[in-house]
Amino acid sequence: MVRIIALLFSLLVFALPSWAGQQQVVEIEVTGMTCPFCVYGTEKKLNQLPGVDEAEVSLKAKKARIVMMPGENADLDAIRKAIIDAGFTPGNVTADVATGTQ
Amino acid sequence: MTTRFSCLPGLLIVALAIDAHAMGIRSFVALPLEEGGTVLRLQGEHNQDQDLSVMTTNLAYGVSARQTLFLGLPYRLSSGEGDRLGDVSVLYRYTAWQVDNVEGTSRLGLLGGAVVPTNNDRDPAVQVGAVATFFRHRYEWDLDALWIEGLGDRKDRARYDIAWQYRLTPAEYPEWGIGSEWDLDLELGGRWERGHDMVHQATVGLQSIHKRWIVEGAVVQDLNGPDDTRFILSTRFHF
Repeated sequence: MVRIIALLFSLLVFALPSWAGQQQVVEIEVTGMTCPFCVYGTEKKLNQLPGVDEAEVSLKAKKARIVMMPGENADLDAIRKAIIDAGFTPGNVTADVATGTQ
Repeated sequence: MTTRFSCLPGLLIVALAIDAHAMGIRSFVALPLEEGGTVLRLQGEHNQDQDLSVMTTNLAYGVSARQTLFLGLPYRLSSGEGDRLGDVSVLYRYTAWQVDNVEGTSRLGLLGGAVVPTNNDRDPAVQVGAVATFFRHRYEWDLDALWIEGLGDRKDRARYDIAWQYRLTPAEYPEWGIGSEWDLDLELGGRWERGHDMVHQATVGLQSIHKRWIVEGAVVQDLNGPDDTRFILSTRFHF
């Protein structure tokens, strides 16, 4: 019985952001970026990923922020590959939260 | 002296074709480009002393993050002898070494390709070279060198470009989003053709760099040889 309750509780916790329409936000370090013209490709690549609502880049913080569509979960391997395909180097994930709770 | 450099308009046309490529203004090969990305560059160059104007169309395509293809085609706008259409420069770049960190990036690329004549009267050439980029904080160094081995009657040529760019503004980027910036560009380059001395050139330019486009202008002064002065106006679009 305890297991069933725990399972139901886990499902509730993980599924709640989707039901509530919350969006997962991932921030990841990106190194090697130089100028606006060159890093445009990073935004473009990240925005092409399935389930991504919006991606933007911070040249100052050397990071990319990926906002997922409601109910979509970020694929970190795909995000890292997109950064590599853009010609740069992915680093650590510095944030992985639901919108409004950072 | 006049005879010695009488072939320079023609030489210029051909040399411009190789200018297909750095974030420097006179070269374009250091440009980082994402897989599947395309950059179109339209560059007008006017040689004041020879009254020669040339429009060069350059295209860069990202085959993969490490492989980029560059095409260049010059077209002479001003009247004169010979074909208006120059030869096509095709260059392939393989980024053989790359080290990225929060401070910037260091890269080394190998170049190989050909010059394909657009006229049967001219012979082709093969070209090999290398390009290095060193970027830290607000400044970037781009160095590239190219050897163009002429086949048949085509003369061998060589060129080098050393470009230093400094971000004038903004001093700091915004927290998020891609803004725009102004860069100062100082370059030293050289153009050589077998039978002639190397002509070294100094370039001073400004670049207005945006997310999807760049407008840039420069003055190029020969430091020896013909002592020509050139003006460059160029724009790039990132698709």
